Amino acid sequence: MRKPILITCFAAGFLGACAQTSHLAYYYKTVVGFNASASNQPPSGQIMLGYDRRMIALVPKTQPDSNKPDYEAMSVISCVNARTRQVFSIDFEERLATGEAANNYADNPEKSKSHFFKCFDEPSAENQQKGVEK
Amino acid sequence: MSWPKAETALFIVCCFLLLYGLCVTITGCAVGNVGSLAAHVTQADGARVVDLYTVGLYLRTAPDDQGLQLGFGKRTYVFPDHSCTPSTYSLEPGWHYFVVPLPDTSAVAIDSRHLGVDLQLGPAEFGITIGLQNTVLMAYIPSDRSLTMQLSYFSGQPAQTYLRIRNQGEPCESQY
Repeated sequence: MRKPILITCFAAGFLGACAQTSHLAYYYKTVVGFNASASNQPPSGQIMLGYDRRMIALVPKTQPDSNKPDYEAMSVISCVNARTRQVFSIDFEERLATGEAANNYADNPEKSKSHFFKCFDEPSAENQQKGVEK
Repeated sequence: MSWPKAETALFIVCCFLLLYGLCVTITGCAVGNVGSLAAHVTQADGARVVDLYTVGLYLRTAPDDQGLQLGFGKRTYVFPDHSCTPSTYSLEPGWHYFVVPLPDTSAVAIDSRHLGVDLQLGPAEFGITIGLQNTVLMAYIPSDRSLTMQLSYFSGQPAQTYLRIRNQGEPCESQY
């Protein structure tokens, strides 16, 4: 009985380890119970029993098809306003720019504020309607 | 000691429902977008939102959402809806049962809730959960993309979803 479990765990770990992190990902995770999870970039893992809530951001460091080990994969500028209504109910509003678009916004911070990333200093229309303050 | 008739009937109904739920949980099976599942598609502003309900064993095969789960689950996918992703037009608003025409494109956000056993096989994380789990994937973007995205998502209110994506350097500016 022990062997199949070990094989399953090994297979899951092998698949995960082989997977290239070629995407930007961020997510919010809430668990009540038992959780064992891992990520390959950066190498990390956890075993948890009980209640856990966390926000995880995975940003690729290098281009998957690049031969330059120090070549930065991407630029990101992002603003997320997340609001928990219940334990398992999350609303969010995000504004995100990647790659050249992020570089352009970084080069022109005033443009960023006025055009796209208003969420840095202004409450959203949705929040204004609901009377929520940031 | 004899029970009153009403209580006996209620007890039998409860037992029946419990047994029925157990049977459905054990025998329910779905792979990808086919099987013991139901989905509700909602047309939102710039997006089509799919609420996918599963029961029993469910093998997720989408590249951005692979895994295996046993139990009850609800997954909400937010797909971009514009002329550059024609595959989303197969998602007619309304209820779909047993076969859900999910598009080939990646979802820009996934809100998943699950009660039971869930084996995650990436792409962001791999692992196993036993119990209750809620995962909200807010962004999943290829590292070589240059884009701007604005997304508002309200859990349980798919019609209020708002999505705008603008890609740079591609023939179709809105393509994700």
